[in-house]
Amino acid sequence: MISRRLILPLLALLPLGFGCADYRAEFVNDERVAQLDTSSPVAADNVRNSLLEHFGTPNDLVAWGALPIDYGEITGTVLSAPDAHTLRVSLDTDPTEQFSQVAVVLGDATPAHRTAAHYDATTHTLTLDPLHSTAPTAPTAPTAPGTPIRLIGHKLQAGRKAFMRHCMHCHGVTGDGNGPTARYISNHRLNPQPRDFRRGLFKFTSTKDGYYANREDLRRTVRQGLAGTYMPSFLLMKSKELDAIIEYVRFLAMRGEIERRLLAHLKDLLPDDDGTPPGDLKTLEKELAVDGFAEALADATALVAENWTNAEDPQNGVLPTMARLPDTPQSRLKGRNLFISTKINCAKCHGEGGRGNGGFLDDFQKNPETQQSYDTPGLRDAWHNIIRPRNLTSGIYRGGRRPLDVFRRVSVGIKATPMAGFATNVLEEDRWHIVNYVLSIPVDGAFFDEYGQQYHGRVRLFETHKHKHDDHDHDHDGHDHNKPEPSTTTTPSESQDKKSQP
Amino acid sequence: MSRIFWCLFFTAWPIVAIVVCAITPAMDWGFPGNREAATPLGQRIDDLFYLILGIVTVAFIGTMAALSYVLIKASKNKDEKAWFSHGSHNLEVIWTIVPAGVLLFIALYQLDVWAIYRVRDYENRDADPRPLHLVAEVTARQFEWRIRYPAPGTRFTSYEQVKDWLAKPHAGDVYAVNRLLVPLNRETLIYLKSGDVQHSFFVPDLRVKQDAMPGQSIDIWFTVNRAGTFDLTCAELCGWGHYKMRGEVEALEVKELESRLRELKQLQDYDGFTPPGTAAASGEVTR
Repeated sequence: MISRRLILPLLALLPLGFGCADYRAEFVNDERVAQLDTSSPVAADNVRNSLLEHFGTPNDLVAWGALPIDYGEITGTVLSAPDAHTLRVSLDTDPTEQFSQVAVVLGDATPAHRTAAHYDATTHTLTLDPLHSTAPTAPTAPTAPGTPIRLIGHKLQAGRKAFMRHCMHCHGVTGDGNGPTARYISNHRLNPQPRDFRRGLFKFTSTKDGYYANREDLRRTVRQGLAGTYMPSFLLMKSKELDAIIEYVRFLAMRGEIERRLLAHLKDLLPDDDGTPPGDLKTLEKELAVDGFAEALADATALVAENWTNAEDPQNGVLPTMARLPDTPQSRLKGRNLFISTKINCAKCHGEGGRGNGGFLDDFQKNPETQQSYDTPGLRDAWHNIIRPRNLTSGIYRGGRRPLDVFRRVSVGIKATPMAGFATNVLEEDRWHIVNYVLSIPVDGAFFDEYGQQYHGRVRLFETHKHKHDDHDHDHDGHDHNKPEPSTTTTPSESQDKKSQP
Repeated sequence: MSRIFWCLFFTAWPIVAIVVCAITPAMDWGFPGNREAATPLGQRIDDLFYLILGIVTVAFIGTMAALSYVLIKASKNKDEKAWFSHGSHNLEVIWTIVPAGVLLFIALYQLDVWAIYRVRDYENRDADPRPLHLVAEVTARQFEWRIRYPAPGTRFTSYEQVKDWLAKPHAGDVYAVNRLLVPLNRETLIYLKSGDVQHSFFVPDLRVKQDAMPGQSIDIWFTVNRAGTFDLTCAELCGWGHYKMRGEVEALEVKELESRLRELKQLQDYDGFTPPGTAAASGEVTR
C-alpha cells in the first residue's frame, strides 16, 4: 500500500534526474576521416590515433612538447611521499587554486612518463592517478624526498574549462565553429559564422601577410570583441583566465591544422564522389599511410610549430614607419581618390560611397580548392561562406577603430578574406591618406547630400574657395554638388566647421 | 502525534522568518550596495520599499493578533454560539475602504519618486537645460554593452545639442565596451539603445533599471553619490548568452573621469608610431 502511495511523488521527482548523465565532450574529427574509413581504414586509424596520442580528448588533454604552446609548467620538489600515489610537494610558484589532470614528470624522466594528478593547494598534496591510456607505468614505490618535480598542463586545463564555459557554444568543442548556437548565428546572412579555428586562420592580426595571429591579436579580439558581429567583448574577464583561453584556442587551432595537413597528405586515398576507392589503393596506402605517415606527421608538426612561432616574432608585425598624416581635408581627398582609383579600387567591393555595395559583389567567385565557380555570386572567405565588405559609413570596425588598426587592414588586408593588403604596391604615405579618408566617412558623411542621397561618380569632398583650373570656376551655392569631377584643391569649409563639437 | 507535529510545523516558520530578519544585515542579504543605494533617487526608492514593508508588517501583525485572539477566546468558550458576519454591510464597507485608502496613500506618496525617475526631467529637458556632465550612448547588443562618449571636455548646454550629438558619430567620440564611466555627484544622462533584441540596463546598486528597445532610444537620468564600481547586468532574458552581458559602472570624480576619457581617446587614436599621449598622436587638426 505504501509503495502505491509513493509512486506518484517518485514519478514527479523523476525529471530531476534528467541531464545527470556523464557528459563527455569529444573532439570531432574532420568529415574526411570518415570518408577515408570507407577506402583505407588503416589511414583513417592513423590520423585518429595520432591526434588522440598528441592532443588527447577534452577530458584527457595531452601536452605535446613539439608545439609552441604554453601549457603551464610549475616546477618544485618533493617534500615527502606517504605512499606511492601521494606526494607532499613544495612548488616554486604557488598556485592559489587546486587543479587536476596535469602531467607529472618526476626527476629526469622524459615527459612520456607521465601521470595525471590532482593538486590540493591548501594541503600542498599531489595525488597521482595513473593515466588510463598513455602512461606506461605508474610509480609503484614512494618517490624519494628531494626529487625535482614538474607539473605540466595546468594552464591548458584552465583554458579548456573557461573555453567550455564561454566559447564552446559558438566555436564548438573542437573549435570547428560548429557549436550548438552556431546555426542560429549563421542564419543571419549579414553576420559571419563563428570562427573555425582548424585552419589556423584568424582574420584580424597585427602580423604581415601570410603570417598567423599572435597571442596579443587573439587577446585583443577576446577583450574587445568583434564589434558588429556576435563575438562579444570579454573585457572584464580575469587576465589569467583570458591567457589560458588563448592558449587553448591555439591548441585547438594546431590540432585542426595538423589534422588538415595529414588529410592533405592522404588525399589520394580518399574515395571518389561516387564512393569508389582509388585503383592502386594498396600501393598508395603502403606509401602514404604506412611508410610515409610518421614523416608526414613530423613535417606537418614542424610547419605548424614554425608558423605559430613566427607569428610571435615582432619582426613579422606590421607597424608604420611614419606617424599618421594629419587628418586634413586634403589628405582625405587624396585618400578618397585612391579609394576609387583603378590601382587600388577599394570601391570595387566597398562601393563608391563606402557602403559595402561595390559592383564586385555581383561576380561569381572561384573556389580556390576546386577551381570552379561557386553557384551563387558574392565574396567568399576561406571557409566558403559568403561575406560582405564592410559598410564604411556605419562607423563599426571589427578589427578595431584605432588608426593603427585601419592602417594594418589597408596594409596587409584581412586574413582569409578577399580583403587584400596594399603594403607592397601602395606607398605608406598613401595608405595613411586612405586611413584618414576611411575614418572620416561615418563622421563627416562627405559623400552624402543634405537629403541623405549618395552622390554618384567622383564627388567633391568639400566646398572649394579657390581653384587650380580657371575653367572650373564656380559659386558657393551648391549647384555643383553633383559635379562628376573631383575637386583638386580644397580648404576646410563651412561644412567642416559645422560638424565640430558643440 | 500528528497534532504536535503540525503545531511545531507552523510554529517553526515564524521562527525561521524572525531569524532570517535578524541575521539579514549581518549576511548582507538586504538591498544591493550594503543596503544603501548609491543614488539619491535610489535611496528614495528604498524608502518606499521600507514604507511598504512597514505597512505590511503592521497589517500582518494586526490580523495575526486578531486571529489568535479569536481562536484562543473561542477555544475556551463552549457555550456561546458563533456570530456569522457574512453579508454584514458595515464590515464589507470597512475592509474595502481601509485597504483602498492605504493603496491610494501609497499611490500618491510614490508619485513624486516616479516623476523624478521618468517624467519630470524628461518634461523639463528643453525648458531647463542644466549642465550635463556626462552623456553617454549605451547600445546593448547580444551580448555586450557598446558605449560611446562625446569628446572629452564637451559641455552640452541644451538638449538640442545632445540630440544632435546622439544623431550621428562625431569626430572626437570615445568608444568603449562593457565599462561605463560616470561622474560622481553630477547628473548623468545615459541614452540607451538596443542593437538587436530587448535588453535591460540594470545597475542594482544604483536602483536603475531600464529596458532597451530595438528601434528606440531611451534616456536614463541618475546622479551617483558614492564612488566605486558597480555591477551592470542585463535584466531581460535576451538570448542564450544573456549571462555574458556583464559590465561595470565606475563612478569617478569629475576631474578623474575627464582624464580617464582623455586616456581612452589617446589609446583610440594610437597610430602605432607616435607614443599615445603626445600631442602629435591625437591626429587632431586645427581647423
